[in-house]
Amino acid sequence: MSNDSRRDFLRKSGLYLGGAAAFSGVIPGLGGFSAAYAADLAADPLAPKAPHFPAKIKSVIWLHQEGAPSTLDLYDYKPELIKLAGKEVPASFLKGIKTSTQGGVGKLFASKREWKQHGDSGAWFSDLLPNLATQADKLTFIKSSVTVGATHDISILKLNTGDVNPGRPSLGAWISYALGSANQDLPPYVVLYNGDREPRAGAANWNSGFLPAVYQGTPFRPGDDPILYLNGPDTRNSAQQRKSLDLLKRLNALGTDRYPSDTELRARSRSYELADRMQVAAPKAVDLSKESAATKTLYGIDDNHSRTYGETLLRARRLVENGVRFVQVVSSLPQALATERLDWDAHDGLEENHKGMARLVDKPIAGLLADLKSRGLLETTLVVWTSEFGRTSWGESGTGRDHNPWGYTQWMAGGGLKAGFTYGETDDIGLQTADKDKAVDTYDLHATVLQLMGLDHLKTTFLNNGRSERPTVVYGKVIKDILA
Amino acid sequence: MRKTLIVMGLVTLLTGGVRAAGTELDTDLMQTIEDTNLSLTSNIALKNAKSSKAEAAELHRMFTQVESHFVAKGDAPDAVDLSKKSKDWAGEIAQSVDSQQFEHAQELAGNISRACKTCHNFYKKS
Repeated sequence: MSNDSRRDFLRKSGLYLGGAAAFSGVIPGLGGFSAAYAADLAADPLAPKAPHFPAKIKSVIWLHQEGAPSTLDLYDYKPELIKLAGKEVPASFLKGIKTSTQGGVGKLFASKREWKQHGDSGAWFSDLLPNLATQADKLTFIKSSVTVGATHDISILKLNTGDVNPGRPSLGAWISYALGSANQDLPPYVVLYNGDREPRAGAANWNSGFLPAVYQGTPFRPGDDPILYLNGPDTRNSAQQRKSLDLLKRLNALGTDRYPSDTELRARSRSYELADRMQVAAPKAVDLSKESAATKTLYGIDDNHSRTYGETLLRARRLVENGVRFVQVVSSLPQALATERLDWDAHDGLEENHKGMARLVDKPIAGLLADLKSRGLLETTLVVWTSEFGRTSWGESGTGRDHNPWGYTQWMAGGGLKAGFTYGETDDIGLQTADKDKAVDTYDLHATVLQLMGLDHLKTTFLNNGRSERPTVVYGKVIKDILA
Repeated sequence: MRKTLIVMGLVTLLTGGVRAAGTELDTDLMQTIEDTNLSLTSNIALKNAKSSKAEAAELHRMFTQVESHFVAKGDAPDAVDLSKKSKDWAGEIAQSVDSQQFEHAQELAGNISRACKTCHNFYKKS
């Protein structure tokens, strides 16, 4: 049988719809194949899709604090640690944890911090975050965060994809897949960073894994030219480009009509059009020239130290305003400001490192929260302050702290949450979660973010090589106690 | 259904339990539990009742073996408790799948995953 007659046979017998279904796997909310729906999806994989239940939020701003800040020196006030500083860690605190981390177990360490309670919620903040402290009542703290403690790269991968091995989709990719795009001129999932280079471990942290590539994150570089190679050459004007795209579209249409199950061809055709629209939409979405001086000051853009991060967060707000579903922001200190390290990874010199990093992010994040609130966007946006792990109660190198996956603080703010609320706690020296039943792993954080987006993490599934996969692998529990 | 569970229980008592007592717990068994649970999670999501039931029964058998091992060992009460709970959840998954309650079955499978993780964290060698 020739290729043509084989295709003809399949077409006539209706089996070619199976090809379209194979592209989409198990559709969220349907729990199984729907050939007609799958065919629609193949035609436009970024078409908006309904959530499983009414969503509390429309967008997520995922603030990854790269390098792992010591939340013991920012939010988790432990008088007992201050009292015991300089002594060995009492054995009772080490029960049940593996401590073969890089520096071994040193003596308990307390930095020279001043602590105060803020807002009606009475949340504790150290003197490193004076601006964020003014937003205390907007925050929902998770003080019982846990993860797998490994190298930064591996734990960052788990933070973003739910697994310590590469190959799984990132949270933003799952959301793009499950909900599609709310703005057909922009990607639904954007990655921002304020450093001079792409974040460590790079695209593995915003990839789409086994999901179709269209759902991966699009990195926007700092500066006026956010997407590499987006703009055409100077020798070709927009009218010429339009004519060229129209011709390409007609030629591709011949192919898609002939081979309706060729989803790659459809996706490619669509990407040309998206790129064309993005040439106008993307620079506009991140153009800060129309923002007022007051707004820029609010984000700390007038301070050279916090300028790059402030600009990045202001861009994040603009992207959310423009319907981007998931904005992943990675912080790092620009090289011009750094003495040695570019992130929060303070194995030594914590005092200097955290002063620099806190000054980088404190005002911009406080500004973002205040700005979202004043624009009525905080009700529909979720801001997540997160890191790959925390830092130990004991000191390392005399002036720093080691990695701590057993108990650290993260927070969220925005729609659908109990604001000014704290969930869980660490033990008296801030080393482990006090109540293991309240431990919040990255899977639980992902399940909760999905829940707020109107997605049941158990029903957000994709068929990969015959296996139904979900964002939370085989884990995940929504943190119901923090939901409003 | 009751008959199936009784047979399942008897088989596990006669084979797994006896075999496990007093011996070292095989790491292959743990890997098989992990793989079976992964496959079970997928089959529940796909509403594949036949495979889900078979894998739930398999997990029930293996957790009975694990429980017997830790009972015999005598110094790991949390492992006994967690393996017993996991065994019970595996049995409940089979019942839930029988009555087409796949959502509940998926939650129970999640409980098993978390119990495995908790147990491994607790007994991790320092």
